[in-house]
Amino acid sequence: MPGVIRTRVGYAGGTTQNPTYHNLADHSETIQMDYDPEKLSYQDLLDVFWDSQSPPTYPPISRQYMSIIFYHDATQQRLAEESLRKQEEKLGKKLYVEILPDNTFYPAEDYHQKYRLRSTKLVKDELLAVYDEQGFINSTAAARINGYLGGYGTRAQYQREAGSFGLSEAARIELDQLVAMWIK
Amino acid sequence: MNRRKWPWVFIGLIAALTGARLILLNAALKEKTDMQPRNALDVELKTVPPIDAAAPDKFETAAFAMG
Repeated sequence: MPGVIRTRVGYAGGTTQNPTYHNLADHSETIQMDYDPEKLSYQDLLDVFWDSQSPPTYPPISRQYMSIIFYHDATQQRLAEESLRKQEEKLGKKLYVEILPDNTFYPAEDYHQKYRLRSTKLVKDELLAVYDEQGFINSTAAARINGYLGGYGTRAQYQREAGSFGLSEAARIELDQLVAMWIK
Repeated sequence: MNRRKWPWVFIGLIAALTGARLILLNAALKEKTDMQPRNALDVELKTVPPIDAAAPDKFETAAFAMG
């Protein structure tokens, strides 16, 4: 999504410290992202949140897969609450979506970060030749490549920005072929 | 056929089979080597990708759990 600078997956919303994939306790699987407010608004992200799922109309069975909007300031909180109210009015039902402060985010284990990108050969190796593991996770190129490999975005978007990933010709060929499989 | 020629026919047959097996083994080994992932040290990219270099310093953060 244009305007998203970096992404990371993790666990949030719970009360225990240092959750892990095998010991989530009361945390939920969460994606946290940094975005450029000049290119993307918080409302745009809320729209994607609502469009990407069928909001739950029943109480959650497990906290691992909750539907939660985490806010970072009063503006985000207000926009999140307004968007939830609008969705409930639109559907005429109570939605089991929580709105919580984002003060409990724990990054997931490295092997969960940029999961699709990690299945490549040349592309992953080239980025890891530049970055250490943390730099790899925080790379905008890595986030965008991972998104395309997840089937998000369009071919046109990919063609426009693939040159900015700084890949060698061989790695670019590998990526072109993989993206062609996921984005028709 | 002359009985004295039989050992040579047998030896020739074994040699041909051994040669064919070596060729097949070599092809399999080459294919396996080609499939090995390249070591990170062999790859060409050594500089920060342009899109990373151009990332703005000013940003906001958002987080969602999406069921």
